[in-house]
Amino acid sequence: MSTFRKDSLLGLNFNLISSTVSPTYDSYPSLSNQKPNLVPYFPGAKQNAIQKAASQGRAQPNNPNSPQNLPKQASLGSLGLFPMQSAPDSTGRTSPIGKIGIPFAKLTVEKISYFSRPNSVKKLPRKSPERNISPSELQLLKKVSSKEIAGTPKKADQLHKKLNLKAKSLFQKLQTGRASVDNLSESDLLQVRIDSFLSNFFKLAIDAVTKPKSQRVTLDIAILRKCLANVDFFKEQEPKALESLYKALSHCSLKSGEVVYTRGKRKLLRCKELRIFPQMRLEQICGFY
Amino acid sequence: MWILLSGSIEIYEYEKIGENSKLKETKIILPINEFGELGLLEKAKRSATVICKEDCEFAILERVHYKEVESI
Repeated sequence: MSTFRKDSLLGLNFNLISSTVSPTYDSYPSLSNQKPNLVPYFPGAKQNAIQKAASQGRAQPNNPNSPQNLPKQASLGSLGLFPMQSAPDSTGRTSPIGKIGIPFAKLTVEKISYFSRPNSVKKLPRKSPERNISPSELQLLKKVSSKEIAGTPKKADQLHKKLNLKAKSLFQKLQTGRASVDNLSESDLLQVRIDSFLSNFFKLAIDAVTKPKSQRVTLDIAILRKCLANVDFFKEQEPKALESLYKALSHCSLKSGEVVYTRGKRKLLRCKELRIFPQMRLEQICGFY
Repeated sequence: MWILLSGSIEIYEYEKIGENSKLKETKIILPINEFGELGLLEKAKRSATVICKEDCEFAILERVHYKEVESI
């Protein structure tokens, strides 16, 4: 009367039972004579190979001590569930389960769950090797990251510098006579920022009084005129610069015969004669051009 | 510093004739030109007299404002 049916057991579960139960055959003489023809079951090619070996007589499925009947011990041992072979206990048995004291059912469930859900084994994240970063490398990284994060403002700064450089070179050309105001294109003038224009304008004004009369540059006024003509552009693009221009310049109109200023005096005109509007209307001035 | 936007102006300077000096028209300025730039930098006395020949319009850069903008 065999209670073991090969087809009623599952794979390694069967192996587990066969190896753990086999020592008990001696305890049950009625069963010891009816040992089933147990062939370890492995799915796939391994099972075929074992069955082939059994058919050739190399495997000894009836012998519980046969190495072919102990794949479970090897596999469990290799998995670290329990040792390959424990030391013999007081009765001389070397049953690993008995020695460790793991309940049979629990071990079976663990075994099934392990193989039925192979993907459930959690893989520990691979640790990247720790590396000491030198301060110089850290600084470089910070620079790179800051460039990446704040790419747009950097570009804006670069564009700003570029425009200023263009304005400077333009004024230098004008100063040295390599360029003429009349030959300047509107786009050239539009690219000249009015604030850089103002600074250059004042530099030119200083030059006008510090240099000999023959070397004075009067082109600045013509540039101012052209810039004023493009006041709409500056309104949109350079409102602050335009505001500074508003503040810097005053507007005044005088009648024919009126004295603008008199030689030997410091003041330009008396206040009542100088009709200055605090907020000069550039559009009004631009209307002349 | 003055920038003549429209009209025209005459610049008069004193011309010495013997021991006396007389105002003499030396220059006519047309738009768009500047004058009075010396007063922009220094509190110097005016070196000439400027009179409007016709109705004029000016853009004026005063010394105070110039210093403000210069400091930006």
